[in-house]
Amino acid sequence: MELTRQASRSAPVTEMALPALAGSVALRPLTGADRLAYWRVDAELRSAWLVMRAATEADGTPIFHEDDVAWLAECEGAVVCQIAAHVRRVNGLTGDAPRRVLERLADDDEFRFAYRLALALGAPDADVLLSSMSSTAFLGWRMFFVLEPWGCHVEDERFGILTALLGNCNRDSKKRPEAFLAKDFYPRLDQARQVLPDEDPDLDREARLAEFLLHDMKLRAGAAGLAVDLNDVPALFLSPAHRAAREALAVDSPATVPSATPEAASWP
Amino acid sequence: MAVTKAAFEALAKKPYTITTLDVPALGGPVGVAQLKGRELDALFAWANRQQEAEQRKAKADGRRPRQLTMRSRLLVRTLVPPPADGEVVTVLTRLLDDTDIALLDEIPVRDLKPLLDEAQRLNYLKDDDLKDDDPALEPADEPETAEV
Repeated sequence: MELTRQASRSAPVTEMALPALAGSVALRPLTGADRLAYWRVDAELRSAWLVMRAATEADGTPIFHEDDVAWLAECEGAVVCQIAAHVRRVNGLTGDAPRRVLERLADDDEFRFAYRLALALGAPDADVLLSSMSSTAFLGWRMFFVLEPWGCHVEDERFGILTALLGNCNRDSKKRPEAFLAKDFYPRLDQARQVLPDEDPDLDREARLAEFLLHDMKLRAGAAGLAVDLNDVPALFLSPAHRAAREALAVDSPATVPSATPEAASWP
Repeated sequence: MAVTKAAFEALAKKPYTITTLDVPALGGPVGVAQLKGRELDALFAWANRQQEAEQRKAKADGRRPRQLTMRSRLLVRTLVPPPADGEVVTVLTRLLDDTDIALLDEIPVRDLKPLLDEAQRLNYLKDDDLKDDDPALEPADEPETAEV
């Protein structure tokens, strides 16, 4: 499952076979400081520099020193660049690494949440944080976030609501009959995914409830315009206002729920 | 068995490995060299700079950038005069200059294929490594991250 996969993501040292040297070499992960230093290394020495930085003895002691880079660069490219290519792949130094990380952050909620949690807890390394945390603790934080979210998304939404309120107070209803919505001032809301998930056997009842609560919270926050099919939501999970809305709308296809009503806003 | 520092030191002192191939289309034998790490890095850095220059030029001209072929560039850097029997090569003398890419582009691919295959084999380069749209080794500089 995703939680387990994430908890085991940290891989401290990798071993790479080197047939040309009839042996193998242990490679430690690069640090953030290494990453910054890497881009300042002369382009012709980068592979040698990576080998110098990553290669270690079995006990973790570095094999090479900064002074060794010059002669390491004179080794066969087939060996040095092969090791360096591996180091680049493992440490996100390939040309497409930023795009892949960005896509995963955008598409993988659990992955992104790990970063949110790391930020909230002041942990610089989300992988280390995850591997030091039990699955239930992580789930607890995940559910806590559903009830009491934090981060730039919430801040944007909050300011979007205030700005919409201000805009509607001063709006000329003849020139602009339709009310401003929070999302008019909050472009990222347009990209927000549909939070009610498809039926997923791996997604337990708790998670579905949590997702619904999150959606409900968004509704109550005034983020109108999100498409939601209320017929898909079990009645047990609906607030009285939403139950009434479902009966009133009697929709059988995804419908747009109106902005927060006073009833909805007062639902716990 | 863990590779020692001494093994790398010995590798650094090793002379160039050069394979000689007979290429009738080029009028005789040609040497293909195994490049040092520094030279291989320089090759990719050069290729990246050229591709970036092409992208800038294409943008200025309002056209799609051409994908410059990496194959000719690899050959320009690896083809050497065939060494004499028993000759130990410690300094590489290239057969072609970087400006000779256009010359190589005029030669039919089938005539160059044995040389290219050998250059790839010696330098442990896979076909994917020679694609310009997916830099195998690295970008020239830290790429900027896009807005989500």
